[in-house]
Amino acid sequence: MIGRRFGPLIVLVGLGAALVLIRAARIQVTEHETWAREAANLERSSRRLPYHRGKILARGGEVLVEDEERYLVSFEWRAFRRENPIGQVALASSAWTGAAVDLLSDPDQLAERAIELLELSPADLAVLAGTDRARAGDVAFYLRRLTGLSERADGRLRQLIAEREETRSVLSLAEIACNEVRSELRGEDAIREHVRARCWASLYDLDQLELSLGRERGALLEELARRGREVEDGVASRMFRRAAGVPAGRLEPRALAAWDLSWLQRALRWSDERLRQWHAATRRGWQEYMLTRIAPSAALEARLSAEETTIDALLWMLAPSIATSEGSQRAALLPWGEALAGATPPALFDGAPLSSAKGTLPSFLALSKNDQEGAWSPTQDLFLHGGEALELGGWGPLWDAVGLSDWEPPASAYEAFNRWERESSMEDRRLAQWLLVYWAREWERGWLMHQALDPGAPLLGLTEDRVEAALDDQDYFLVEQGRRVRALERSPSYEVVYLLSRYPERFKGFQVETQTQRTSNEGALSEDDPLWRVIGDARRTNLKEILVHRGGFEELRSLRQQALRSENDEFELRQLVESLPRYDELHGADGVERLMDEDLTGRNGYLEYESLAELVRRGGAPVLDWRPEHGSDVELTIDLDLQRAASETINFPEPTGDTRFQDEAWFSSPTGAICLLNPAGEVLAAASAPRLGGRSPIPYRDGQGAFAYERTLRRYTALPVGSVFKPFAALWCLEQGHLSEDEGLACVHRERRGARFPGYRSVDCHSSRGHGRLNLTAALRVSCNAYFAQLGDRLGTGAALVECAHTFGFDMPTGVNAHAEGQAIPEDFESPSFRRADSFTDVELQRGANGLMVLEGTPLQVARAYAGLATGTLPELSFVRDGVAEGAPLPISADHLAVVQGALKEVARTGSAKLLKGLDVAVKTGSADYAKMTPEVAAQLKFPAGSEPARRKHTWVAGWTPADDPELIFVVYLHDVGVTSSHSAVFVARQLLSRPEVRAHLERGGS
Amino acid sequence: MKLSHLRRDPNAFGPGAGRWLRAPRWREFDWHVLAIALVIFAVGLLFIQALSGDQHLSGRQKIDFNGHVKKVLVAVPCFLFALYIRPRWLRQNAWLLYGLCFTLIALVPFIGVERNNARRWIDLRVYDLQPSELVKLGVILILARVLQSNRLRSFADWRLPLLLVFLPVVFILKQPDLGTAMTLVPITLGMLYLAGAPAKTIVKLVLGSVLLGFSAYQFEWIEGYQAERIDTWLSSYEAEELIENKHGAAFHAYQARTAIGNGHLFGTGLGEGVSSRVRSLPELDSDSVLAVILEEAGLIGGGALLLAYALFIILIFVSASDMRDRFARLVVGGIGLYFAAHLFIHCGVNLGLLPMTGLPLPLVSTGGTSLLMSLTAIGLALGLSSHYERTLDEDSFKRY
Repeated sequence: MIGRRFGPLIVLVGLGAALVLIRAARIQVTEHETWAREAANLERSSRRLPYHRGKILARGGEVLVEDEERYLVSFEWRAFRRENPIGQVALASSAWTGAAVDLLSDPDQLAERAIELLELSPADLAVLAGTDRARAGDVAFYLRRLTGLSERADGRLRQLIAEREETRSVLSLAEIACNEVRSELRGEDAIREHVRARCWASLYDLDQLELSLGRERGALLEELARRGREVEDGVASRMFRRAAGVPAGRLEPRALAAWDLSWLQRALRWSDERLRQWHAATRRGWQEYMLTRIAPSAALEARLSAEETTIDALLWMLAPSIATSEGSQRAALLPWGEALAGATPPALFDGAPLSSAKGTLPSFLALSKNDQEGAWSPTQDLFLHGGEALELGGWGPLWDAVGLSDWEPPASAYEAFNRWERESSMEDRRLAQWLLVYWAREWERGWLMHQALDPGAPLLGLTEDRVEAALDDQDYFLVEQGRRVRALERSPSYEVVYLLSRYPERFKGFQVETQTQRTSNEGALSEDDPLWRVIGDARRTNLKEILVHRGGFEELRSLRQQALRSENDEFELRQLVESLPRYDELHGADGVERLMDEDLTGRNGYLEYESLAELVRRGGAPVLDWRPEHGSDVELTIDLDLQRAASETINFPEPTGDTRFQDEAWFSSPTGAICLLNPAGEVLAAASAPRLGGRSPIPYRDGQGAFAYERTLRRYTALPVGSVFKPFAALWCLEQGHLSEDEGLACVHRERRGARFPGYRSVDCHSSRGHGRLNLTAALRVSCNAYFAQLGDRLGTGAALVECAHTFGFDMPTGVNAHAEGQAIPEDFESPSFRRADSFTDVELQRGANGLMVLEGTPLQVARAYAGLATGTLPELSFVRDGVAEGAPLPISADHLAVVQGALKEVARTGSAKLLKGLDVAVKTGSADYAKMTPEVAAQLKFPAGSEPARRKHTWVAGWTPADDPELIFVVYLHDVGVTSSHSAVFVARQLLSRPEVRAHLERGGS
Repeated sequence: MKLSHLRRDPNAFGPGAGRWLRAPRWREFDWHVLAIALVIFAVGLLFIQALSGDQHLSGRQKIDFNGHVKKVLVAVPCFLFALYIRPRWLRQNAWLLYGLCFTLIALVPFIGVERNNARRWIDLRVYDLQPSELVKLGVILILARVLQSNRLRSFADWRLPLLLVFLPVVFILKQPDLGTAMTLVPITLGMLYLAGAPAKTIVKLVLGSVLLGFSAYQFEWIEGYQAERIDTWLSSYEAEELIENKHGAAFHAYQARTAIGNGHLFGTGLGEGVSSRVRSLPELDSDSVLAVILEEAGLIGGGALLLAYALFIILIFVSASDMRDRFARLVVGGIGLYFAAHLFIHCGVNLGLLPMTGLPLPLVSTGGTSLLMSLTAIGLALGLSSHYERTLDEDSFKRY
């Protein structure tokens, strides 16, 4: 029998055991699934495996663009300050003196300063601990690190430093510790030298790294110090936010000045000036963040929102950013909430009810829904209760910086609604930014107002417990901010990578990482070639895509966290992994990158594995291992040899050597383009001048020479094609029966402006004597303007001219963007004047038939038309092999085609392009009036007296070779030239066709 | 009647050592208690050994099994010594022993070393001594000594025992070491009850302690981090709340609960638990060892260990209840209370029934001084229960 009072104790033990077992059973049985999932999450890691985007290759397989693993040097402040003697000395000094110390004010003194610090004793630290325990702890920590002892010795030293009454120096204690653990370092002198050596080594290493990075002397250390200050700023912001409940950036300097922040200054050892700098930087950063991230994001979300289609949607989306201060209810309620006597804090929306105190509340807290009585909308409320002129205050500089200084805010709700109706993303963004600034200013004014009314209000002040909480968390913030890694150098040299990888212990805080970048092969295609604009760029996943896929991202995160998945879950996980874009994933932004985005895009993979220990122990496979599927490569039609030939020809044309008509100025600073096609429509070369970073433009001309644009598909000025259109006008008229092959039309003198000029009605001919009576072949051979002006009359209507142009691809897309939604490769295909074709005058028809005035085109449109002329089939152009659509036969009879083709052969033999005689080409020249001839430009030209050109021109040569069996279609276009095509473009064409690359291409049969 | 056999103790060690050492009466020895203690100890060794493997891969929480074995080897002689010590000597020198423990605890603020913002250890070079662990046994001994002839019949009878406990508690709280201070409360109250304090008075004292604890929390008499632990405990009792706070102050509790919950009925297997592999559970060889055991042995295995431990405690109580010598009975009862307090506080903390505090599980956790005191306590309990010394005090004739 159990007596002597032990019975109840035994019962208590039994009950205790039962309670413990019941609780254990609840956790281990009832809640097992929950905790098993958490346990699996602790252990498992997963990541998406990025695919490599497909390469873009030139014809023949040379790589132009590909994903490449590039190195990146990053920097972690925390590791640097803890492990590098430079950081250790600076932080130890700072902790000891209680003031901020420069990272390295005097390099020569580093070692001596370190030794000086090591003369401190634990007793000295104990005195410091009496006033500031944290500082004493910091000093002790850095002094230990400074000695650089082995782990065992360091452990012993730590124990010795913990003895507060110890008066021997840390250096002496280090000696003791080394002796006890039988370290190699024996004696104070040896330790002293060891410390000195570490200091000097750190300086040397930093110098070496600085040199390898190509920085100026001292620049690297400045950058590191700046990073240190950024970390401190981050810590201060976190601490302030903890204590105040609002981000520091929300408060104006005046509002902040009302608070005692000496606790923050003491904790971080900041002077008043440093505190001011921090706040200025934080405020600027917060304002930028709100204007450049929050406002555009809200605008986009409002557009994507299906519920509300008016500007009210924007107000609903944006108001929480001001009202809740990224989730902090305190910032929302203050100063209008509890500070208002008797008013209940309003509920945060959405669904905020109408408040009786609405008039005193800012609109972002009292947004109304359409209610039955008043049918108000928040936008109407805004203008009714507020709507005063926006006073920018401290937002002024940023307002200008984001481009709002030229933008007028809406003056009424009606105007605001209308602007939203425009569905312009730029306007949406501006409205959001305006609204955000308006409300932010309202919030700031309210804060200042209530601070003035009730400065001691606890809700508006820093309470002791909140400050304590902030100080308690300081260490955590220091670690968190200090651990953030920042990029220091992208694509570092091999030397840097070698240094940091081979000697990581010498470069604490510096890391080398790899990053996938989309790189261009500038060895294959010159980096300054505007063709890169056609190839295009890739961009990262944008905000809209993230918002659109938001639900999917949530679902993916949830499935990833699920340790126990069904087959369906795994299937869904795979779908999401493959379909959802990564935040750093590249997408085609424009050009071929965008056109062929689907082909270039691969599928992401996924790897899920247990801890490294588990992998090694079990030697097993990861839990899930889905390999990424890389994107397909895309081969362009561009022949790099021909591209180089075309680019060098147009950018570095040889002077004509013409003794009579010359535009030397143009030849010294050319602007223009050359394109080459094969008859199937594959673009073999598309070269533009000037190249990126090219020469200065020719003075007194139109200034286009300053811009390195892509000019084979784009048009930046009026671009009439001139006489190169004449064959098409002729073909059309032949086919429509407006003309017969042998019919002669006259080019004779007539009265014009009080004088007699050869021509027809409003169109003058370029021949001073007139051509007399010509048939079609002769007219094409000499390019008689009068003849074709009469054809213009015979066309009769603008509609007919337009139909003629359309038949041969003018005013129509060339086909380079086939299968793309919208224009992936930018292309200016429209002839703007054609929109009013119904009202074309006779003059316009006459000139239009000559390829002047109303008829414009790009070099590739001209090339396409000539490909059709050469083969009878109008091809669809393409920059991508295997992407060429089938062309359409021209509605022109073979006989008529033959007539015109024959005429173009004559042009090269005896006509305006006889300089090309002997090159087996069929060709047409063109000189299209462009701009007025000025005396300054005339002075740049060489011409015979009496032959002053009246206007500046664009000059063209278009044709094909060989004449009877076309293998190469070519177009040469010279921009803003002072002489005609025969004295400019033809010379350039000859140079092009004489290039060995072109000859080799032709000898290969055009393949 | 010859009384010479009473004068000559055949088990004594001779004229010198015999004053304080005597072999136990092996026939009276509680072998079953020792067996259970050895089983518990062996289980503890097994889990510690399993924890010490593969540590190089995770790089976290290196568990030194060899160091633990060395400490066991230091503690075993103390166990044997305690087994052989004479109750009479213990009773005669209880004040001395208490004084020694109290001196050590009083010296900690002056000669102790500070780790993790607590000063609890005296560095003996080869050994880190934690006087607060010694104080627990010292308090048991002195209470047994004082209560041997004190029936707690009047208020004045309470003063000395409470003072003798209160004084070292003050020093322990200043270290700070709330966990150790907490264990002294049930030990003290239990021993007072065993000494004859009325149950109602004990209940009042318990309620008073609870009220004191509540007031300490409410009026912030305790350290900030201690109040935070209580706040964390209150807000993370349920699984969902705990998971929400897992990255903050409830990190330790979350890790412990996750490990325990992961174990299910049969456990993950030795060394296979997430606590062993990931090593994010703090103090997994000392303050959180129960979580590791419950995870790897499951409810069945861990429950069996808990029941064995409870049985071990109960058997100590049973053994004590049979003892006619009041002093020895109180010592053994106190030792039973010592193990019970540690068991239930350790379990309570790991299972979320109590706020987080660091307290090892005797016989299972690592920790040199804890191991030393646990084995010494078992030695005392087993030794005292098997020694027989004639006394003629009241209790020899009483059954309460």
